[in-house]
Amino acid sequence: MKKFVFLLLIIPFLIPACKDDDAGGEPPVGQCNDLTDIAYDPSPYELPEMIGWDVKMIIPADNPLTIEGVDLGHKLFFDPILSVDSTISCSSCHDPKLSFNNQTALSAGVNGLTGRRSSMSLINAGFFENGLFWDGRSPSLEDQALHPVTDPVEMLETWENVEEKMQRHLTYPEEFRKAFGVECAEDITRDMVTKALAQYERTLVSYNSRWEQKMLQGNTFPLLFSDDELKGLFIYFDELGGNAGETAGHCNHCHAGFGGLLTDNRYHNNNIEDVETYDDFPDPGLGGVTGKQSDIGKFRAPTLRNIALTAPYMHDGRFETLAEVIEHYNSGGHQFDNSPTGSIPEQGLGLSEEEMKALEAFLHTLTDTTFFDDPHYLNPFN
Amino acid sequence: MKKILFLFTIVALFMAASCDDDQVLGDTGSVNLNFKAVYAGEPLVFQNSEFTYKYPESFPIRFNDLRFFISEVALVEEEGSDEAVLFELDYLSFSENSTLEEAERATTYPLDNIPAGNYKALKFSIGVPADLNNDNFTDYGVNHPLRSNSGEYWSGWDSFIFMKINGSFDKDGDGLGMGDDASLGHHLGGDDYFKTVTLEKAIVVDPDQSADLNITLDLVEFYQNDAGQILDLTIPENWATHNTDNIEPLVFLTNNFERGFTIE
Repeated sequence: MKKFVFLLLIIPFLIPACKDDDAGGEPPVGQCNDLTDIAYDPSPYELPEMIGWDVKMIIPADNPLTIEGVDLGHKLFFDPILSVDSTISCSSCHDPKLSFNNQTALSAGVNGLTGRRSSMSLINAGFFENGLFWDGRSPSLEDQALHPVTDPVEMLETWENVEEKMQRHLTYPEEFRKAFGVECAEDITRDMVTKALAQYERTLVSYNSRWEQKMLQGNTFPLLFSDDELKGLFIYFDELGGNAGETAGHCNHCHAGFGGLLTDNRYHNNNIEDVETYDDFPDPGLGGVTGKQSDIGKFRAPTLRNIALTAPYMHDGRFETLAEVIEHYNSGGHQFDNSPTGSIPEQGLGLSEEEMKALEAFLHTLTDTTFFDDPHYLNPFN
Repeated sequence: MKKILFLFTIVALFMAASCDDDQVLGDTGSVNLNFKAVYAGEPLVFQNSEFTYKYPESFPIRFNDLRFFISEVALVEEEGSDEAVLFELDYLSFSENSTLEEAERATTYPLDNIPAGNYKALKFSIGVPADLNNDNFTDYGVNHPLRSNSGEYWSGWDSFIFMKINGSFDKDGDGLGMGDDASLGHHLGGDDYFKTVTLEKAIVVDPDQSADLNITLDLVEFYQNDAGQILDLTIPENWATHNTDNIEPLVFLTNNFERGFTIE
């Protein structure tokens, strides 16, 4: 009994000690900064109707879109708090004004370090399947969001630190409560951070380029294509040549896909490396993930939506302009064993100068200005 | 006494459960479907210039892709025409076999819970059944073969590409890889060209046993028919089947699906 009384007496002294720990280091086990006074009643987030697409986004059952989750993801996306020195946010490499891309060949992370690949546009990322990243190493947006935080040339942070920063933040715990129903700030996990980011990324939908207003939505006026644009459209989708007197561009083999996606969600060697053997590829791409020889040097076919805004091009940003890209494919590039022979003929495409200009003009019709002018996509902290 | 009753009940329940298990296991066996691709009997290696083959009676050829939807896979019962369905749909690709070792290794479908019994044939179709081919495949989940291979949907045909064969061949006799090879792009699809293959073989599925069925696809057989005709690749129109106007190679190749497969 005496021991019990003694324990009761020392409890008040233990509580301040806990607070001291709280200020400087790990939160004590079992502590709860109670959030249950805040209502948890998330509202479904409705994606806009994408006329003419006839494609449904796959949304994981354990991470439905909610207004609260998307709002939280929006803030996290633009907040450099995810990086070790609070200098780099997701938006540093995925600028909404640049179709959620940036205009550098290789993206810079903390301490000015650069990675080995260009950042990918996140436009319509919710529709991307069959792996994410240039090399397809991530199966979902939720999983993808885990990687940049700990990448030494991106954010160089640990997830343990991120979780602690979220748990101790002035405002984020309330937002996690509203989005995911956490009862204690200490319950915030990396899983919720990546879920919120994935929710936001799924809202980055674009479906209003001039091309689809004309082709998918059936509008004709005042959206008429110029002669060059129309010719370029035929070249883009032609595989045999001659449908309208043009040369086949074969673009749609890898950049068609269903609806207005403009990618086949697959991986290809697009003949940019002059190699003798599979070992010579400077970047293994998909092969580095699957371990299969035939996948070496293959990279994800990106969507061509807003492609005019996402220079420089290719996984390593080697081409500065669309004209250079078209010139590359027109030449046939460097044929190798795993080249897509049916898509990039060995002799090249054989487009004339005029046809190459027409194709470039068509690619500009894939720009959706309503997308990058939407305030929903801009920095919420500005 | 209560303890004895309790123990008796537990033992009885356990035995009953065991009996049920035995009954289920006793009625079914397993089947391994082992698929290999060859060319004129040789292991077919893709995306590797060290491996070239000979087009019938003519030039060197090599291949980059051979992949297809396989559907309605079933065993046909010995008596009558009832079938035991093995699986409904998958996408089978040999394109990644870029070494001899990979080409010699079979792609296996291990299938359990197949009703034990005697069967007279293995049956499957190449392509996507019309009801699925005309459905909105984006209704399906991410792991569904149509969704995960959505890049194979060809809106110009209102169809998935059932089978893709890509490659290149030396059209002018100066050797493969000399910069002027012709590209082979046989992309086959459309409801009218959905074909079923029946491979006759006495197949026994014993209870609790595993049966191996080795299926070989010899690609060269797609390019020559029962009448001894060969798809003439000296005609440029036969190099590719990229639209429905170019129907001759599409018809020729899909009509030869059955002769391309053998079973052991």
